[in-house]
Amino acid sequence: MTALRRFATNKLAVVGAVALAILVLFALLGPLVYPTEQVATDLGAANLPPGVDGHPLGTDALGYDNLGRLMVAGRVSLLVGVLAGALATVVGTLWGAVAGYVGGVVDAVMMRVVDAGIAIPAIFLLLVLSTIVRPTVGMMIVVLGMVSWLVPARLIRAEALSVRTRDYVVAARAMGATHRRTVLSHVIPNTVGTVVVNATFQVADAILLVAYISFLGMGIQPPTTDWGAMLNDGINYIYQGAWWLILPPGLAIVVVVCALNFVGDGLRDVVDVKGRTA
Amino acid sequence: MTTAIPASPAGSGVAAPGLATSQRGGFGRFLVRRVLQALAVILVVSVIVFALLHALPGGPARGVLGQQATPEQVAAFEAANGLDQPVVLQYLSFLGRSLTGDLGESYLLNQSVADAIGLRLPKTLLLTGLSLVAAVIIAVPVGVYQAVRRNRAVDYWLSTLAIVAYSTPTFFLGMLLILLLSQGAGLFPAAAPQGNGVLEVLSQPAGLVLPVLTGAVPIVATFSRYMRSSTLDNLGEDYVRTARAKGTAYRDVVVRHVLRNSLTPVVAMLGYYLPVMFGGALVVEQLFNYPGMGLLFWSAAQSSDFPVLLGCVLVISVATVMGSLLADVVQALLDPRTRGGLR
Amino acid sequence: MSEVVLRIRDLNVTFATDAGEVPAVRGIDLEVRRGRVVALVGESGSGKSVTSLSVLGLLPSTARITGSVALADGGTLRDVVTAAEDQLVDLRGRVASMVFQEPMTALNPTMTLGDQVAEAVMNHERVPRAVARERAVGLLRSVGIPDPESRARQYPHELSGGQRQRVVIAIALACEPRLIVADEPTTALDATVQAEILDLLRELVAERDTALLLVTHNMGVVADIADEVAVMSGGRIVEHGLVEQVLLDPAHEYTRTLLDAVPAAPPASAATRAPSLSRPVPTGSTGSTGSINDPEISTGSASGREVVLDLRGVSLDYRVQGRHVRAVESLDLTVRAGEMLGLVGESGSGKSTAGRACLGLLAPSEGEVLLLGASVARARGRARRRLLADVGVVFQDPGGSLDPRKVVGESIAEPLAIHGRDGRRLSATERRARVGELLDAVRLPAGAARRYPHEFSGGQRQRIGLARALALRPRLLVADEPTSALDVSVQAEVLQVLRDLHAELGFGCLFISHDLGVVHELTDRVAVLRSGRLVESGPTAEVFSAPREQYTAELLASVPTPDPGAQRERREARLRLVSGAASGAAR
Repeated sequence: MTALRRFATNKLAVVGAVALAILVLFALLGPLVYPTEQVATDLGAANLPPGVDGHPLGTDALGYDNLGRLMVAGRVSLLVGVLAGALATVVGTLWGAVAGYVGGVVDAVMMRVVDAGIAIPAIFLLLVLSTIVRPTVGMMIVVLGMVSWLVPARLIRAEALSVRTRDYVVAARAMGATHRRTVLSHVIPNTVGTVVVNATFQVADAILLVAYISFLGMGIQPPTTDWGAMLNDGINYIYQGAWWLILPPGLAIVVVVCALNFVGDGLRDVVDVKGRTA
Repeated sequence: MTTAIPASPAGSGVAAPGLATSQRGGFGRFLVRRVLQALAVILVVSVIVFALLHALPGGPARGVLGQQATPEQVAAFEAANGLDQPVVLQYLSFLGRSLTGDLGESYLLNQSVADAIGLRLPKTLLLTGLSLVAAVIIAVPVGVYQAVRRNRAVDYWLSTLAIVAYSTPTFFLGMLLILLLSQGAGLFPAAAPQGNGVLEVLSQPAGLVLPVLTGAVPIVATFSRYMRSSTLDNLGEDYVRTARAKGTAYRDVVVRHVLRNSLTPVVAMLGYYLPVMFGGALVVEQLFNYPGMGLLFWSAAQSSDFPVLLGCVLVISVATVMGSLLADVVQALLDPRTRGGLR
Repeated sequence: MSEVVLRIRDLNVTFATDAGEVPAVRGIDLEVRRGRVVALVGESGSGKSVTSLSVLGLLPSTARITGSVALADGGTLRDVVTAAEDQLVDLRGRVASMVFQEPMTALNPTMTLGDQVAEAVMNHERVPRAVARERAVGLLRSVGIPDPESRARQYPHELSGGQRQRVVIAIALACEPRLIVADEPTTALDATVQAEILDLLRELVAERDTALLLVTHNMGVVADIADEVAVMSGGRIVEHGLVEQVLLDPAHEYTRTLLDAVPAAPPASAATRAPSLSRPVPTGSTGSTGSINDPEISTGSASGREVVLDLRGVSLDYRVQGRHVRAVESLDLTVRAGEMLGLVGESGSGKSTAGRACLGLLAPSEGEVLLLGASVARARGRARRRLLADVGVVFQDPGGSLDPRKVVGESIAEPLAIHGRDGRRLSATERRARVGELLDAVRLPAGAARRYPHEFSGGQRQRIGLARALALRPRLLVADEPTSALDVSVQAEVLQVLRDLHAELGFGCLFISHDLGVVHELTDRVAVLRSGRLVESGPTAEVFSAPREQYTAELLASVPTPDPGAQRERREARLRLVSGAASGAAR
């Protein structure tokens, strides 16, 4: 079975991939089709319910069109999520691979650092960091990447440890293969599947984290916004029944994170080599 | 409530934190190793917190005195606190102070950081503990049920539901609950109980319902998946076949044999999940205005009250390390293969 | 004739898979009568295990079953195929019970042994827990567990594999069923332990007049214990008859091939005689030190040729949680060009650890491993690589020794890529040509080079591994249990390829194996290892026909031979040996 076909047998994964594609197109191309004013405020048209004055999803407290805002906020959420997830994956993979392959004292020290990082709840660390550095989009990516690399590091280390003891790696070493060759030709190709699958989950988690930070009011500053910040703005009007300020960004987060998780599960089926050799 | 655990248990391998305790060496050896490991981790945490202190704009002096401090005040503070000394000495004295419980003074609360945390930590532990207990009571049977009914429609839907619940940010979930159960149905208040002590908080149970529920949902989502996966692993084990072959009914096999063996690795995962739970508590406390450590931390972040921020980070991290240690020890005690060394 | 306890009629089992319905059992008929031992033999995929699981209704839900499997319950025959789950629960353990292959995993690790046996009692009898516990102790005693009172309070990990299998048998006996189904009950055990478990099963069955349906791949086990034998192939029973008739005068072609593929057990004379004095025993012969065990004393056909592998007083340690555990103690071995040395021993004897040291994967803590006269442990960089270019390796697990993400051609060419040939890199065309030659040498089509390991069977993968090991025409081949994971007929094929290539290329070979039959058939000299120490060594024919050490004699006598008469003699000889040793120890 080809990889694509195996992926397609997981219906949720296909649904996830389609939902993801739609949301990305919505955020990237949406504003071209449906241009709105997202810089100048219009307090005269604040908090309009959906459908009024040509605003399909209403307006927020500053009079921004809510549908248009959802698009531009999505750009920030997705961009930060993808890049932070990618950064975390790269850093974590390298750290974990080195620790797992070298082993011994180096491994022990490197893993205690990871343990310590994991012991500090990510949100706490992020809040401290965002009081120290002004949160711009670029800064957010770097900071999120730096708190999210720990889990992939742990995962890849375990994977490297296990690949290292497989007979084909032992055979390569018995043939006189150099460490460089063993790592490049056996260890990395056989861990890449785990890395890719985990990267998907990493992006999902990064998108959630951005939302948390923004919701706590410590995220990217206005007029730039993201889905979490929209929710933070909207919560003040929750008791006035302004559901349209809450549901669209909230659902957008849920859908994109779900979709990424579904896709990740589907990818895992594809790269699961064990299932194929049996 | 994100990260620290991949979205899916299979990714991390439920058995991953098993720590190879089944090796010979016995429980005593394992315990010593594990405690040393925990101490090493706490040491690294203290270095990170110390580094953060020095990364503050204007250094620790301004961090403690506030950004409005005059250069004279800063100089006086640095001299008084030994900040003109080599970094290593500074670190050691920071470590010494932290060990004696001296975490500095909050410059907003007119209170020492230790007192501020001491007042609120129990309430956070109460909230987290209640959520955890509620979550485990739901997650364990759900996970086992899914494993027994694997690949049937009900398993499929519960798994999907778990992913949706996992993907829903805690605060969004809280908002939905407020909208539905508080605003809509008027069943529970949207504001959490206030008060100084744990008992005071407990005396207002209605107000606890929504915060506890909000905190529990993501835990249920995560742990029902772990439990499912762990139970599935065990159902595939040979001993299950042996038990069935001697005429044990399937239900008894699950209850008497599989349940206990499946719980063991999940107990260890609880330890790994603690940081995520504390992160979740922060959001819940902020959303429901619950007077715990998370809210303290959040207010401190709003006002750049650095001594409180760093004190909280240190305390929470140490609590996390201790929690993981406890979980690992409990897991080892549950397993006769490691417990053997005790005798 | 005694009453029927199991009657299988026209049993068909198919499994629903992604690739559609796969038939596993195709219309078999079988009867087992009270007190009889019926062996169901066949190779993997023959449907024998599926048949055994169907007896207790333990097949997974993906199985579709037709026909009937009837168990005698009191006076009536009850059909398992149509029975509901609660009826099955009532039958299992009471009317028929089961013993499985893997004693290491067959018991619940977190429940005491006593409770696990007691549970079997309480499943079918309304007795208080204390009574059930007492019964459990009695059952443990009856299966030969020493000190059953305290053992009952222990957990599975505190027992050896053989002891655990005894506990599983105790569970199977708990409710005195008329039938015990044993699925490869001794396959995971060492030969000496296997012999003990077979003795136990034979006694219990005779004592209690229980029937035994024994599923096995091992013809020697069949000869040792069975009254009747049914041979399965491709889901069908191709031959069924009394054990003497089937084993000594097989009617069916398949049975004949199967029997031919079984490596001849070491000569029966070895078993009938106690440790022999027919060979000169140098004085002070008890230890493994000194020159008596120096293999070079014994003159093989290869003596005088170049020594390719030389172990001198090698001790090996491995680390468990910071502690050093000695796996091998001052071992001396030599392998000369063109000779095959068999390194035999039971699990935990250190034979595989020794093999790893020969490959330079493990540095000896004492002594020296010399490859072609140079120490591997001390060689570094280029020198080490040059040294290793002269060594090939084949592992046990045919699934794990090839990188699943590389096409077979690439795996075979890996040594060429690492070392080049004659000091220069090979072009892609040269490499392809060499891979083609190697595939041809191991009797695989050239097209195999472009396919992935998972597209091949176990035997084919082992031959691919052999091709890779021989890519550089090494002077030493280390083969670590290369055929233990394979069926006998496939094993015979792989061994034939190995033998031919050995004759053609003349490499020295260290052949590590627990299978004395294979070693007997294949090797020139043999070294016996026990708990990390060399017990004895010498020309294979000599050591096997006239072992000098008690342990070797026991080991040899434990290997069952597929001839019922000869096997009975071997068994008796073994029992004499063991009891002799016991009384010797008592004295």
